[in-house]
Amino acid sequence: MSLSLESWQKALGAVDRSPEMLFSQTKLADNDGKYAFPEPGIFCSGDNYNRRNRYLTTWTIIRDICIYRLASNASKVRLLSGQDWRTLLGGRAPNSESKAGASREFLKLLLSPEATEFGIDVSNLHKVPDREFSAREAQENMWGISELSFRFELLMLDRRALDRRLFENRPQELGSLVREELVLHCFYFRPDQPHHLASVSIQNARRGLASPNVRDRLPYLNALRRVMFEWVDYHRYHDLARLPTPTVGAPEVELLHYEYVIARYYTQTYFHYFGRAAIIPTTLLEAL
Amino acid sequence: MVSVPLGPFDGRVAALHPQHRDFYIATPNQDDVFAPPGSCNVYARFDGRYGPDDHTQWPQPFSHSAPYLCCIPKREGQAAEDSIMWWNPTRQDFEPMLRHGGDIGIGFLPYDELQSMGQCCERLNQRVEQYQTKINPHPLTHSLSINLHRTLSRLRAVAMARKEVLFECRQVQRQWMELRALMDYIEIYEPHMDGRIPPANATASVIGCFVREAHVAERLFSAGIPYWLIRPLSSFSTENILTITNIIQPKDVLELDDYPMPFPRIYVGDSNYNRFCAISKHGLKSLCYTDLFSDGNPKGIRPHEFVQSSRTAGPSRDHRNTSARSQPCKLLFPTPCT
Repeated sequence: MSLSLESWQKALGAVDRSPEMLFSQTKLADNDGKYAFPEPGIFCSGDNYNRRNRYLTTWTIIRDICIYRLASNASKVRLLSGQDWRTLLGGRAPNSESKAGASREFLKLLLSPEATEFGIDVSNLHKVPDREFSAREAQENMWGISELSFRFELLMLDRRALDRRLFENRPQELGSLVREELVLHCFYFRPDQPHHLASVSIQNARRGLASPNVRDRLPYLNALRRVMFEWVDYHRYHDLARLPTPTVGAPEVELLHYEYVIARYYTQTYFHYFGRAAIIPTTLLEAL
Repeated sequence: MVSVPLGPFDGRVAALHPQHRDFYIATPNQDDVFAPPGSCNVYARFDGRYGPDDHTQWPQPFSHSAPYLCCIPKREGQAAEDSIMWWNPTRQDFEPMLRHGGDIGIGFLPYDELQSMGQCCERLNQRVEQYQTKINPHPLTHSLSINLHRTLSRLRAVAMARKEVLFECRQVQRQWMELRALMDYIEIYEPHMDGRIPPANATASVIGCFVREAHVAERLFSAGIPYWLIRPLSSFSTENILTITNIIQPKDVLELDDYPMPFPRIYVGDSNYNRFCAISKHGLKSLCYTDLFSDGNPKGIRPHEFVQSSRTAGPSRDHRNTSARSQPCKLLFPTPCT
């Protein structure tokens, strides 16, 4: 699979998952704890290549529909649990009498509550034969899933964690378009590429926050910090709030510490609001 | 034989107001009289535009809140490379995404048209950037430019259903026209109106507007902007009117049919600034992501509003055994899967 960056990996491992770290010990919304995109780990659990190929075959079909659902102003979008994603990606034949079939039918509704009227149809997923994915193709697909997940999770966390009391005198800066503009600065886009969260290109798998060089990651870490600056507990998280911004010429160890502190706050805050681990940025080995 | 130029209150053509017969409509710089908008019922039609309530294709009453809207460019007389902004996409102008040979129902605008739109927007953006280097640039240029950029990016990046591709294409065209109108208003027409430069000696190729106030008519006249002055018949005295004509109705020239799955009605009322705001808001709606954790509450859930109630409501999170919970943290550690 795509590779986690060390600072992010450490930060995720350090998340305090005790119940008192949760914002609420009850679910606030149906979607709490669920996933907009499949959790990348399910593609390679158990080293079952047939299942991986099946999951990836389904994923490559529904990927753009999933993005369309999220990148629109639908009245309500239902997310899926990890188990729901496994059932959907497994593409079992619809059969309302079996448990799996009922689940599959249910997922079809979840996937396109308003989309069916536009002609979007995923009812034949189970008929699509499995494709054989090379190791590289699998890595690239999983990098794409991680990247999409991280982007949309960041956008949604920003909505949850934003301290609206800071904006009483400048409500116009609370607008979702203004905030999204800040979020977009956290990612690298080629000049010819649409500046949009859904515009995820494998050509950028080693750019921005995904660059293997922490110096190249620095501007994007600063942009992420700028987004988090107005989150509810930012200024109480002294490790980050009082941390000077390093220059690009700072020693590597200092830059990696800076990245760790940002990632630590991000992953802990994600757990705080959503009760599960955040999807973190990953990078991809260079193609041979 | 006419030997004296027409003035701002004269009529090259004129007609009786179709709803209020004690009023007349006259224009000194146009050959036709369009029907003035009455009460609006605003919704997008089969072509993704708003019929007679659409300021990019039908003149509306002059707005003091958005005076630049009367400067929306008309296709005639524009540079050929900008013609994509008047392109009329049809149902066939849609490239469906094929997955394993099947059409999944979403797709894009054809690549060539998307490219042309991108280039057209870039040219306008360069003009805006140059303008913004001046002292105290109009703040609206920035927000309109950002919105145009965002709408185009979404159209390029997100595969959408056919109906939405059509609608979003129209939004890019509309936002481009509005920004272009604002830039032209600031840089070309307003200096004439304010008397900073001599009156224009030609009529602009723009949509124009309906006017009731004499001083507004005079300003538009000096800039060469088309307008239709609505006045009571009782006020008519020495004005020149060259021709009496029939009024052109929207049904004669516009697409008024509904889309098979009709677009929602977004505004009912007078054709004023609120109509314009409703159209703008509708066009930007798709840029705002659904709040995934709002449970359908359009305002979203604000955590600090739940500090009191969240401890007592809703199903419990399962945190008794956190190791039993899905553990993506662990899966993300390097476990090569090749």
